[in-house]
Amino acid sequence: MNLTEMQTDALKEIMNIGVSKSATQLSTLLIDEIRLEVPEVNILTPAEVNNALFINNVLSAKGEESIVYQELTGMLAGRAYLIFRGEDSKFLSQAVLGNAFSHAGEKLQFYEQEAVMEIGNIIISSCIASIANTLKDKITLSTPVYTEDSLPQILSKMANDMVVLVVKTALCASKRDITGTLVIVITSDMVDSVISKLSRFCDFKEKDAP
Amino acid sequence: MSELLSFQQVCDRVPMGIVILTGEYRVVYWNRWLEQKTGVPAAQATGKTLKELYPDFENKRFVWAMENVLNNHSPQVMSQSLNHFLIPIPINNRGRHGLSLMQQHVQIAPVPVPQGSILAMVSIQDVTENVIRSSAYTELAQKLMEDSSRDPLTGVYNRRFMWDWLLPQLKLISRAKTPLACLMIDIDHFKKINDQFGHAVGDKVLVSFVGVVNYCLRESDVFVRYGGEEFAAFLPGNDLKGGVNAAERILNTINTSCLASFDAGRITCSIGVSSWDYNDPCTGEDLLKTADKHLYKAKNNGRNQVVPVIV
Repeated sequence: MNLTEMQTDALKEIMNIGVSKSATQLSTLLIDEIRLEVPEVNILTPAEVNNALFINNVLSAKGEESIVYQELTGMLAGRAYLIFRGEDSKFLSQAVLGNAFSHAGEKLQFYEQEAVMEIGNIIISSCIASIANTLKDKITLSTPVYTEDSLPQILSKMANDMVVLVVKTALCASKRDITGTLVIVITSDMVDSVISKLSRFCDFKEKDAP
Repeated sequence: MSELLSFQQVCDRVPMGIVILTGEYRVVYWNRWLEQKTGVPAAQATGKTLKELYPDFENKRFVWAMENVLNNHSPQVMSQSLNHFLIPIPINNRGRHGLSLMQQHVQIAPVPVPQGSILAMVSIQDVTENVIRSSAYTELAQKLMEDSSRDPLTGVYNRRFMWDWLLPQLKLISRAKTPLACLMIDIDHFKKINDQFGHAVGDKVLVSFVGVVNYCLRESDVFVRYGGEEFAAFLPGNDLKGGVNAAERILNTINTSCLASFDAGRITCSIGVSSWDYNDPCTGEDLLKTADKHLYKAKNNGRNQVVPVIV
């Protein structure tokens, strides 16, 4: 599934809006300067995703990630996952809650999971809202769920006709860089309508340009 | 059966707070749990905003979450980890872990109503006990961690801590583009002291040696007992020259100090220095290996000296 350069740019811009909205919120919440960047946007099949994520070093070698997900219904039906590498989620909770928690063992404690879930909820809902608002459609979200799982395994259970929208975001706190990746899994029949809405958005922008 | 149960009957029996707010943030429903916990009757709460009920209520995070619920229909979670509480409810076990207010896990969900408008259902769970338990657990874990990361004799960090610290530290400095100096320090002829005066005296030498070196280091430096009479010190922000200067300061202070019951000058040390530099990065292992190589050279050259020598 290939997007034109213009569609990719448009999607990147939409995600940038969503992500920057959550950055302001995260900065207040974490009392730290948080910058969020959207370096990459791709539409891939589940099989391609695994390779792409491994190559991009999103998945940890240990095979377990901290994942926050929310179910989507409406214009996009499927699931939105925000993935932090195991070690990154540890850094994240350390940045948020201080050293004491991060030393309390390898795995995230309940208290840390809650914080990661809230951060995931903020980023996912901002990005999804940005898609819905820009493309003038409705997407409904479920409450967020926190899980520690391996994304390749989750994706391997997925039907072949599913398509995955991958948005790589880098969360830069003043003390640490943490990479979170937003993965939106939708059915392939939906992709066409998203792409056509995206091209309408691009056309509109083009006409609008001076 | 379902027609026998009203919304209010159910909500007044759930063991959590439920408040329903309009788009203007006014209370349209305030359940019994909230009445009991806050002491504010539903009749008094209805029609008011949280700000009117609690004049100190100032919560940007809540406003953002509400906007997302009302405008984007997106449910929001406000964890106790990051927000502590939404509605200030005093608790009786004041003083336990310094908590005087109920710790709350809050979820806000959109509730569509006829005519296309949206209400926000805020549910509040009391998680104070969880917070107290997890902070007690964290304190304990912290203490165990602290104990297991230090050398019991001298109180300085051990190798296990060093590796836990060094890896993230290298990541951090490669981003900040700042240098890191590494010193490998070895007490000269320590075996002879042990053989001649016994291990108890040897231990005293180690303890007072650590005291003197610690005095020469900054609080931000990390000092590690690497094994036996060998120590490693990491000096963030120092390049090779800075590291060598610090090493010479340590060497001179040791030379002029009385350690345990020995006269000044009887106990000396040798120091090898290496550094991590942004323009020439290396692994943690290589950083230590280079310092160790220099230490070996200092020993071979006759001890009581720093290698490399920077003119």
